[in-house]
Amino acid sequence: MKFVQLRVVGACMALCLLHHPVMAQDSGYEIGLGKSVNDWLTLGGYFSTEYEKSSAVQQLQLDDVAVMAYGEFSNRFSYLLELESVNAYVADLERDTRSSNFPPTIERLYFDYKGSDHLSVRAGKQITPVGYWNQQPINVLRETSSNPRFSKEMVPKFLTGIDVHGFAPLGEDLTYHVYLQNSRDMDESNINIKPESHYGFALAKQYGNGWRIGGSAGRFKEAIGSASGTRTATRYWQLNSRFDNQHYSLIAEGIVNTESAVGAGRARSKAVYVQGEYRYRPRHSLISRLEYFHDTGVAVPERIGILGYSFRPVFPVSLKLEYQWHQESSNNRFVSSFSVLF
Amino acid sequence: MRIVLLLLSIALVSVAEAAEYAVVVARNSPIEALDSERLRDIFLRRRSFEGGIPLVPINLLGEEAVRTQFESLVLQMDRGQINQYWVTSHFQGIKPPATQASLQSIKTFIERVDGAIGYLPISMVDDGLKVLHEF
Amino acid sequence: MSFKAKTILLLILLSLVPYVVTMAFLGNAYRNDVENRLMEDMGHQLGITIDRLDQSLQALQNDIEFIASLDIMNDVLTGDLDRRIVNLLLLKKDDLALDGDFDVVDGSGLVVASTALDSIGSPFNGESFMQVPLFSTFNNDNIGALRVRYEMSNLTRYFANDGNFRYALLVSGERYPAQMQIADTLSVSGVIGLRPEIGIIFEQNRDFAFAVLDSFTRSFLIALAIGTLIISAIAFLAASYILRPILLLSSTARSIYKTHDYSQRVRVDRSDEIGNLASAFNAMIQGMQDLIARLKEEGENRLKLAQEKNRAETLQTLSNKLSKYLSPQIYESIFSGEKDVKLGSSRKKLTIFFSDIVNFTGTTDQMESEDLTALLNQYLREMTDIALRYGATVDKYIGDAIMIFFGDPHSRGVEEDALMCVEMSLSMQRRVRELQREWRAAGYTKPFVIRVGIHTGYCTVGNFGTESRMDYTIVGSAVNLASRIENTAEPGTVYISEDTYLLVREKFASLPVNKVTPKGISQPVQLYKVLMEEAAEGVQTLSQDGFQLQYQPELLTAESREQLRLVLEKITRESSP
Repeated sequence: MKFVQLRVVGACMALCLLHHPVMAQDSGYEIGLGKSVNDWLTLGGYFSTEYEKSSAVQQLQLDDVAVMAYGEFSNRFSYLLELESVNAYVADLERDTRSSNFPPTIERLYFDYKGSDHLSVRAGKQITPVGYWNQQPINVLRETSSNPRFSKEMVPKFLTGIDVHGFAPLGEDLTYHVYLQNSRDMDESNINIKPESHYGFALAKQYGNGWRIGGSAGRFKEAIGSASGTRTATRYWQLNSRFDNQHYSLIAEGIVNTESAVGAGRARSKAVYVQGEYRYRPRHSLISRLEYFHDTGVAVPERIGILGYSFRPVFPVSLKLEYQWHQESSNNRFVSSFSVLF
Repeated sequence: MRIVLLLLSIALVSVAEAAEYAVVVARNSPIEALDSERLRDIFLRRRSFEGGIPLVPINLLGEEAVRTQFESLVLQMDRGQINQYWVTSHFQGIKPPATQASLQSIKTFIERVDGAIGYLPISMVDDGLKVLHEF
Repeated sequence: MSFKAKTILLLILLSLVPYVVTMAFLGNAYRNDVENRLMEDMGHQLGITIDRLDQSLQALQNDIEFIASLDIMNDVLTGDLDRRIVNLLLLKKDDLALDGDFDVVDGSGLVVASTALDSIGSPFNGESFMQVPLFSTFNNDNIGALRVRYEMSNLTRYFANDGNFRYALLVSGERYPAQMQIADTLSVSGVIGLRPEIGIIFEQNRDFAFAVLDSFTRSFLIALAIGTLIISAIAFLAASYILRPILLLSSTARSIYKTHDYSQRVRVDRSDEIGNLASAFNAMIQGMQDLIARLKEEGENRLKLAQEKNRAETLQTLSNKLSKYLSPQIYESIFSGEKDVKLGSSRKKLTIFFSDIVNFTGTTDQMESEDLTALLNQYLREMTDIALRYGATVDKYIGDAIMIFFGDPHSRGVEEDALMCVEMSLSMQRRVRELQREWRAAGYTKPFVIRVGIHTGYCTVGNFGTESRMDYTIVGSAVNLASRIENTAEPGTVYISEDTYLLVREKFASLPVNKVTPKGISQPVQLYKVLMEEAAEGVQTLSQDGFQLQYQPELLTAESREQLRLVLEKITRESSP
């Protein structure tokens, strides 16, 4: 089984290091920065494997395999394409089943136009520019293997539309995003919410190198069920803050979500998490996260505590262990992962 | 906050006694001066324009003193942080600035390429260049 | 010209003509065809070479375009101070095994980087084989060009030239490699698709091209000369072989004609047509020889025959006379050799016939001897004729009685024999009645009446007696019974035994009459009277135990009816108790 994974990983690496006789001797490759062929083509990708163990679940999976290509056509135009196979290989050790899913989906495909530092436009399928967690959605860039509930079901992770962004003229280090989607997603295979429309804005302020705050608000509509035609409209308000220095980082994000369906009442849900990381030695760190999630439709709010350890021999290679304590103790679990960005 | 940073930089400068390095552009550039926060944004490729001109930041290849000084004093990041930043940017589709292998070629590059901006020892600055920032 | 000479000449001609025709074809038409094919092959080969060159040039073009797109080309802007471009170009040159040079030229035409290190810094002063413009990735300005300096002659390394095959490039009237053109060559030409100004010539030495064909032709001529000699020899031998038997035939024929010795033969051991002719000739001579022998023999036979003829005639007369004393069947049987005349017998089922003249002794006493002889002889002759007509075997005449049997030596089957016998008997009775009328008319007042008895049974038949005197006859109780039946029969009737009756009752109407008990037979034998056909017509028969009534209604008169009534009354009265 491990060999299968290794082979898959090897294949992905090989795919990325496309072999051209002339290209092969180009200046050095550095892991995590992609392979830059020339200005208009840089290749890269990532993968992650995860092992999860709880009283009900024990599984090993190659949960992401992705390749990326991006580049600049000029100093104003650029593009990015990312193809990903989600749950490429899943071995359920509890039920002793195996499954694989290699056909890749379009994770991102967009074009950027840089008018100025104050006004840039990104069009296509992109990551919704909300919060911090959402914008670093891949395992290797995260501090923990798991994602907080905050990131999973409150806001559509992806946007197929237009995002106008830049530095706000109002003040130094204040950036803004105004985004709009008015269609279905480009590839609905692996997205958390499938909105028919979505719009909103986000603001972020950076104080020096260490501290950032931000927030966003928006509204999206989604169809519940394919045939009924029932739609719900959801509004959200979100705040986030982050502090970094050489040894510590602290992230806090919270969101309130109000969902209203035609002819039905309103449902409100709240999600908050606070996460701290302590890099006690150059490549090692300890992580702790507290999560709170409450859906008014469900009487009991959910609280989750996480303690984790992360080892990065180099930054784009990450080995992580964590233990989660859930309110319902049968949900407690151990999660570990190995992930690489190349 | 800015006061804190200012104090910090003053402290660092005082340790070095006098500024040895300078951020420079071509003599004919319309840019006159840039503070370190703006330089950081430019060299981290958060900003690409200054006064409507597309900027071409240029890094020195390797770990020459001028570069490490630039990173710690202007970018205020160590190599690990910088590396982490560019790895994260790689996922966002952003590449680090172009490089030149020698100080001399940086100098030539800046002189010849419109919008080029780089850092050199002050001793190398001559009539063809304009100093925007010293560190 | 003799036949032999003609044959030899013909054989030689037949063998040589295909040679000569083939030679003519090889010498002219085939040579042109070979040339066309050679040209076609060369065109094909040239095509392959051009394709290879095209591909190589295309690959080179792709490679330099790729190199030109690399970020490092931006170093043109710094004049490649760090020699990063130079290093890259050197690597690529090595990598591509380029036997030319890369040059990067800046906007002012100065060589900024080059794999020919000497030329760096000086103005570009070569001829570029290929070139790709360079653009700054920072502002998309054209900042120079990547050029390839390439000696046209380098392309010739793709050519595998030798003394006989030669490729050459033709660029603006100049030839690479610049060898003198050979005077007599086959040559094809084409251009490189990617660089139409570069032509390629492919030449082949004509002598070399046709060397194989020429040497083949030479060998063929030698073979022809040797072949002619061999063929002539073979033709001579073959003609001799074929003609020898014919000559032999003619000489033998001549010899026979001269010597009249028909025993001479031609000896030819062959199975072909000539062999057949010789055999036929021999057979003909044989036939003639046989014919002559037979003619001789026949002459002798004729003579012998004439002598024998007299004796045969005497024998014939004798035999004819003898036949009168023998049954013709027996006579024929003996003379045809069907049965050997020797003692012997066999047992057969026969139908035996006896007849005699009723009251012959009484009648004959009143007649003159001569009349009697004439009458008797006529009677016997007539009866014998009838008997012979029916195929009977007339056994013997015993005074006025006749003994006849059916079933030997020729039998038609027991039943048919019996039928024939009864039929014959009735014929005899009818003939006798006719004779009675004749005789009455002739004045014999007491004509004959005959009676007949017939029986069918097993008899022993054969030659009985001694070697010196034999008699062919039948013996047995059946013969005795037949004689006895004859004695019992009414005059003018035919009596048959029950055995015969059972065989003929289908055909002949018969009435049961009395029974007889012959000597030596314990059981009495039922006898039947055969009704004459003419009498049987219209005869009504009524038969019960104890009586049998026969009458003919149309012939009954009133008187006879009265008589019948009285008889019947009397009989019925007597019978009632």
